[in-house]
Amino acid sequence: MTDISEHSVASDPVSYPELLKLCSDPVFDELFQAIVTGDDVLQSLPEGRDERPELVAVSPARWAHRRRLIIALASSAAAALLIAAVTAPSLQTLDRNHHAVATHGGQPGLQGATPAWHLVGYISPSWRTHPSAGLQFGLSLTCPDANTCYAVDFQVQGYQQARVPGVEVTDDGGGSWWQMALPLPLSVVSPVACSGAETCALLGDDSAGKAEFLETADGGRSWAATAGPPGLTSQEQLVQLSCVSEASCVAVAYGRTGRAAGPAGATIAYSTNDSGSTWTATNLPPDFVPFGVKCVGSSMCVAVGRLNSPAGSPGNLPGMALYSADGGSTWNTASLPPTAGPLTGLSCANDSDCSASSSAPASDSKTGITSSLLITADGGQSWTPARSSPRQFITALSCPSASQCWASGLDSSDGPGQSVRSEGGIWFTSDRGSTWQQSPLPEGTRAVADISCPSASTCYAIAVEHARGDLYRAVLLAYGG
Amino acid sequence: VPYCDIYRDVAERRAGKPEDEGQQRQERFRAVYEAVRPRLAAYALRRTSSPEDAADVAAETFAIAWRRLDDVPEGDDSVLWFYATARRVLANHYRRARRHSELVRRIGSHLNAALVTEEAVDAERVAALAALRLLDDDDRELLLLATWEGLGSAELSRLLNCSSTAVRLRLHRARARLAREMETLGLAEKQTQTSRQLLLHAPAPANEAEGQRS
Repeated sequence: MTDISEHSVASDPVSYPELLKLCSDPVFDELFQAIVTGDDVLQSLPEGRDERPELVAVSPARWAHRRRLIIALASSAAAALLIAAVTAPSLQTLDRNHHAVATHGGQPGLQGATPAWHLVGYISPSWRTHPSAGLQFGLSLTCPDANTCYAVDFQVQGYQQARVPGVEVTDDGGGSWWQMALPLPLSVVSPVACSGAETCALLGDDSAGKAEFLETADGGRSWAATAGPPGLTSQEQLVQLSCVSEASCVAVAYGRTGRAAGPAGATIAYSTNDSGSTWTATNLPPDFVPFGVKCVGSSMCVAVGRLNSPAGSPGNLPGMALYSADGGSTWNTASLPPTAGPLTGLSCANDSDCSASSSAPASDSKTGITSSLLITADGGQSWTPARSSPRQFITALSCPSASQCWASGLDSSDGPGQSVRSEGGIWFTSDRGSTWQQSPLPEGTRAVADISCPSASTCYAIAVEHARGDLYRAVLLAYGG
Repeated sequence: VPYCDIYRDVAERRAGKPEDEGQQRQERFRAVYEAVRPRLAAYALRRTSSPEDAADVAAETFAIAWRRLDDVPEGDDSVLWFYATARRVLANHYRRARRHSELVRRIGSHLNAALVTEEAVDAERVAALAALRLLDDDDRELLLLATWEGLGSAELSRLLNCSSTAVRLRLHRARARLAREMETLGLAEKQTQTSRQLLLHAPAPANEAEGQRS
């Protein structure tokens, strides 16, 4: 580009050297401030295509040509859409009874070989709307076999926006759901932990704030309630539960004051071998904030979470994992990669192989948080990063075998305190995280909150479907089955 | 829900981030604003009928750049983006009757001093510019970009999204049409300084322009 200051053009109506001097005037600083502060001193163009620079100058004649071309293309596209609408299988939608079981073929996987997920239906009409929320109510899904799933959600009720948990169950692969009649009202419940299709348990918080342990041995038709671990006030603590049998369960909990910015809270593992009649409490490292616990077999347990940040350094978010070889009586600190962030989405295929998602703020601030997969093959003693991971924030993980994992990803620009705006996705690996394939979500559904795969060939996911405005409803997605 | 906790923690971690990002964004805009300001002001002055209109066009173009800062290219190409955007703003400018804001009026009165005074305007020049106005918009803009904005063929080819060869061809044709218009106006024999520049000024070759940038 030629230097205009030396480019003497007598015909130029502008004296560029003079202009250079003028442009140093403070009035241009005023203009700068007006622009960056958004002062209404300028008449701005409306947002729209007129603002976008069109680098290619188009003459009127070429515009006419383009117009004809656009009309021709639009006509072709409309014809193609019409043909597609007539010939393609009709996409069925959920019926008006909210228990729709109509399924439609999911979109083909982006990579061709990736199996498609399909929409099964609403999980329950009783809590299908979620004012002002997307995922923040904590949808969870537990599917112990190919037909049985338990779902937990919270419905906002009343002027004070009280969150009332609901526990739903299906025994026909999501075709029909019923809300389980719990023996007492609970204000907070953990995800359902199952040791079999019929045998499941949960920890809840009664009206007095005390923990209650509920267990079913008949697929949720009836529940027995016993007092939860003494001292465990669920109102103040996040509880994760894992059961290996009707008698043996392990729960981990921490004080909510253990948040990053606050003082450390107590972190405790509770174990029972008599269906909750008695509980043994084991102190875990006080800086450990557990996000998940899984026990497999008679002895192996793994707990993952993060290390509480030192006071004054809330941004320090290292991951942390513990393992137990005696059914949760004693715990040891696992070896993690030094870069591991908070661990969530714990899933164990057997008593050796487990996977978890390590999340950390992305270096690119636009993407918020990204996750990577960590795997262990020695019962949780040492964890190593998988070769690759979906470039999304993994909200849930389910690994039906040592090599196969399904992960639900979420655009991390959607925070939990906001409505879910963007489409999430489901990712699949069959080689221990070396490669991943993305399956698109069925049309109309958004971020997946939880995934549960009872086998390598059958998986379910609980997701939110955008209704209108800030209203969402929980839907069940399925693959295989 | 565990991942909600992570979100909260990250939000805490990034409590100061938006401010930092805002600062970085402002600094980048400041750099572009400083670098492009005289060129954009000149571009607007050359294509509007009053300094106030020019100030208005420049201010609007900068306001768009601020809103779409991510779209503004880095380096010398940013000037091309501003020229392209200003052209769109100009196209809209004359469709709307508008009152200039007080700030724009002050900027306009400032820019007025950069316009060549009437004493310096000779009749031949006026006539040559009249011939220029007889050209269609594309020809006229191409000639002005090459002559007054001093764009080389490389810049013109990027701006117009065509090859340097095509740029030269279009310039050649535009000059030929200008020559015909001047002939129509009886200026062919006079070959005023203005017309000579418009007719003969060739854009800098691509390699030359690249060399000057470096």
